[in-house]
Amino acid sequence: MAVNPYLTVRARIENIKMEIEDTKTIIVRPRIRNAKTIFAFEPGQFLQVTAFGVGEAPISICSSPRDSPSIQMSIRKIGSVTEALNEARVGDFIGLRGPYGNGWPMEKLRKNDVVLVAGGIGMAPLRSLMLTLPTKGDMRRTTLCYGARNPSLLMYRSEYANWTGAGATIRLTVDQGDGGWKGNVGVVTNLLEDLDADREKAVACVCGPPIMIKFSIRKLVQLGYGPDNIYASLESMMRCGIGKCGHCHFGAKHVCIDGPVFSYSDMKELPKGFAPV
Amino acid sequence: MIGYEDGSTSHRTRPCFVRSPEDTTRLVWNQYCSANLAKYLLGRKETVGVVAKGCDGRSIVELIKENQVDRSKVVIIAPTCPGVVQNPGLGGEGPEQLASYCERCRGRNSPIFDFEIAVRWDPEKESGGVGDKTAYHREAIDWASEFQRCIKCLACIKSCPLCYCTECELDGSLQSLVSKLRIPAELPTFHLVRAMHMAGRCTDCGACEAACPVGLPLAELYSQVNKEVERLLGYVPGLDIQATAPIELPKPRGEVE
Amino acid sequence: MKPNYISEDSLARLVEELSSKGQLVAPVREGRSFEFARIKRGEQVCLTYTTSTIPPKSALLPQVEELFSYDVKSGEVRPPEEGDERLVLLGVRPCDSSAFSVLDRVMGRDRADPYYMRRRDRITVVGLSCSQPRETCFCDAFGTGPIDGSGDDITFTKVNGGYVVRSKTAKGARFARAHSKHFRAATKKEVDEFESRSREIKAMLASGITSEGLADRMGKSLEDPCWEEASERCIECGVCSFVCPTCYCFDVTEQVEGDSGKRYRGWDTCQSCRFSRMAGGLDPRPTKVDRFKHRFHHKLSYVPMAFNVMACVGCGRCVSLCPTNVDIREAISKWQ
Repeated sequence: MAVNPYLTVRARIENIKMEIEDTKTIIVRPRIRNAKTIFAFEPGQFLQVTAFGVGEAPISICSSPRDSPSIQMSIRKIGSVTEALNEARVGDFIGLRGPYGNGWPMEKLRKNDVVLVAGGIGMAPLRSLMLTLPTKGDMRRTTLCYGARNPSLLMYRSEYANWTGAGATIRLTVDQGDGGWKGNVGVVTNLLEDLDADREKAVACVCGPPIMIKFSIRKLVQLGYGPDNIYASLESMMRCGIGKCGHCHFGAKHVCIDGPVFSYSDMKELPKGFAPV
Repeated sequence: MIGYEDGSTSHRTRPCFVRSPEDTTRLVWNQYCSANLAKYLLGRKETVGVVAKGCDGRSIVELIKENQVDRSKVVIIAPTCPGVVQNPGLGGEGPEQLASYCERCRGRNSPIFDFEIAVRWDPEKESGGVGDKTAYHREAIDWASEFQRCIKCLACIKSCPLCYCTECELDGSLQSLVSKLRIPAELPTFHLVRAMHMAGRCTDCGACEAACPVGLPLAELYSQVNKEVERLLGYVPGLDIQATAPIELPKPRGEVE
Repeated sequence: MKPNYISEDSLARLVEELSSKGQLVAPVREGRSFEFARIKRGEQVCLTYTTSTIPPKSALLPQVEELFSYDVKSGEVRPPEEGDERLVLLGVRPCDSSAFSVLDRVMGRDRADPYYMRRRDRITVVGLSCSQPRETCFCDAFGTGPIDGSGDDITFTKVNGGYVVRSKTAKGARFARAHSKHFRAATKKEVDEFESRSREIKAMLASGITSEGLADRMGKSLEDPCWEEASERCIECGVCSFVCPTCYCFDVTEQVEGDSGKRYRGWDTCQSCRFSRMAGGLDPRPTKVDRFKHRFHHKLSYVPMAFNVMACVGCGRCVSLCPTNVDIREAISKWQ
C-alpha cells in the first residue's frame, strides 16, 4: 500500500509529569526510524493520539521542536481517550499520527512583537511557542498574558523563571485568588492594556475556552491590533486529521488542515457558530 | 397544528406544521399518510393540535402513560384512516398495495380524540383509499438474512414516537451495546434489542417500515413480540388509556417530565 | 475514438465471462428494488434497473472497513492484508459515476487515502446511460447525466438490440481491447440512433434547477429563517447521508477483544447529534436546524469551495427515501 496516513506509530511514554487537576504532561518518543524527520513539527501543530483499545483524540504538542524526536503533550481528562491517556504509566505505549494542522504563523512571529494570551489549558499549545520564540537580546518583545480560574490551575508555573530569563514578560491573573495569591485577580483581558508591544504590527496568539477567545479578540481589536495579526487555535471534533472524514469541515476550511490556527479575519469568513467571534 | 400535506413527488405526503388559518388548505388526508405524527409531540411545552391515525392515537396513549405527552396540551383530531400504502422504496413499479401492518389494524380511528371525523373510504373511487384486499405480503421471512440487509441508518428509531431517549444505546454512544458502525455480526443484536424495547409499547403504526430505505419488515418483528405480550400479559398497547402498561412503575400518572 | 457496439447477446456472454471469474459487480433485484452485488450467475444482472437503493459508492468506500489491527499492550500495528482483486462495476448510472469524481477529489487530495485509491485503481467503471429518468431525477442541474458520467471508464448507451459503447479513459480502452471479441465497430445507423436517443432523454430532464452561482448564494444563506421551517419535519435519521452517492464522511471506532484490537472506519452522518460534538460537550452544531443547514451547505457550498466540485449529483435518492420527504431540490431552487 502507498504511504498510509491512517496507521498510527507507536510511541513509548518516557516520563509523566503532574500538572494541575486532571491534567498530566506526557513525554513520548515515537518508535520508528527517522522519527525526528517524520515527526518534525511546528509550534501550534497537533497529533492524533491513540490510546490503544480506546480510541484517538487530537492533542496539541506543547514542547519545543528542538527536543524532537521527544514530544510533550499536556492532556486533560475530558473523555474516554484522554481519561485512558491520563491513566497511562511510564513504559506504556500510545500511538501517534501527525503532525497535523498549520501551526502558529512562525514567520510573522519571528519578525514582530508577540502577545500570547492564554486561558486555562489553552496554555499548552502556547508553551510550544514560548519555548521557541523569545531570545535574550532580541529586538522583538514577547509578552505572555495568562489567566486561570484559580492559582492551582495555572500550568507550568515551575517554568516561568526560565521564560522570563529568556526575555519574555509574563502577566498572570486568576478569577479567584487563594490565601497566598498576591497577583492580579480578574479576567485575562484586563492584562492586555499597556503592553510592551507595537500594536499596529504586533502578532497576538490566543488559546483557551471559546468564550475567553471571543473576549480576548474583541479586546485586542479594540486596542488596535490588526485583524490579520490576531490568531487563535480553535478546537473541533476530529477523526482522520487529514481532511477526509468531514468532521472538521467548516466553510472552505478543514480545521485539521487549514487550522487549528486561524486569523481573526479568516474566522469571520467561517460559517457562523463555529469560530468564537 | 401538525398534519400532513402533499409531498414533493406523486403518491406521497409529508408532515406539515400549520400556524395560521390560511395555511390549513395545505392539509390532506389519504392513504399516503404513513408517518406517525405523534413523534412531533415529544419535548413540546406549548399546546398543539395533531392529526392521528388509529395507530398514531394509540402511540399517544402510550406516550401519556410514559409521561412524555401531557393530554391537556394536545388537541387530537382523529379522522378514519383508509389504511396506508406499502412504501415501494425505489422500486416503484406495480400497483399500490395496502401496507402489511394495516392488515393487522386494531382500529382505523384513534381511541383518544378531541375531534373525531368519520370517513367512509371507497377504494373503487380514485381518492377512495387503497382497499383491504390488496395487502402487501411477504413470504416466510428469513430474519437472519433480513437483518443483514440493514444499513444501520436508524430511520426506524428516529421515525418512532416511542423512541424518545436523547442518547440511544443502539446508536453506538459510549460503552453501548453495539458499535455506531455497521458491524454485520452486531445487526441481529441491534434489531432484537430494539424489538424488546418495543414490547408492550409498539402500536404497529408501521412508521419504521415506511421509513426503512431497504424495506425491512420491522413492524412484523415487533408485532410478533407484542403477540407474546398479549398472550402472556393480556396487554395491547394503546387500546385503553386506563389500563396499566407493563412498563409503568407504580406511581401517579400525569406528571409530564 | 470511434464508438463500438455490443449486442445484448454479446453482453450476456461478457457478463458470464466476468461473473465466472468472480470479477463482476452489477445491479440485481432485491425485493421490489435494486442493489449492486457481486454476480455469481449472469441472469442475476438487471440492467433495466432505474437506480439502486444503496449507491455503488459502496464499491469504493465500503460501509465498514478495517484500517488496521493492533496489539493493545505493545502498540504493534498491522495494516490489513491487501487483496489483488480487480473488479468491473457494470451498469453505473451517470449520476453515480459522476459522484466518483467528487469522492476522487476528497480522497485523493494530499495525504491520499490509500484504501480508497487502491480500490479506485482496481475497479473499471462501466457506465450505463439512462433511458427512463425518474420523477426525482435532476442530474441536469449539475451536468452529471443522463448519458455520460464523469467517472465512467467506458459508457454503454442502449440502442436497438444492444448498446453503443464509447471508451472514456485509458482503462476503459484497455477493457474494450481485453474483451474485443464481444465488441465490434458501431454502424452509422447505430451511432445515429445513439445521438437521437441521447437528445430525447436529455430533453426529458428539465428539472428547472441550475447550480450556477449556487455555491456562493447558498454560502450566504446561513442566517435565513427559512431553514427553521424547512427543517421542522426532519427526524434526523441520516437516511439521506447513507443513500447519497457523494456523502463520504466517516467515523472511526475500535473493536477490542482481550489484548488485540482493530480500528474500523465507516459511514457517518452529519445529521447525528454526535457528529460535531466534542468530548466535554461543546458542539458548534448543537440543534437540529444547525445540522440540517449543514447538510445543504456542505454539499452545495463548502465542498465546492474546498474541492471545486458540487457534492450533489441529482440522483434523487434522498428525495424518494427521506421518511419526511425533505427535498433538496426545494433548497436548491430557493437559492439558485
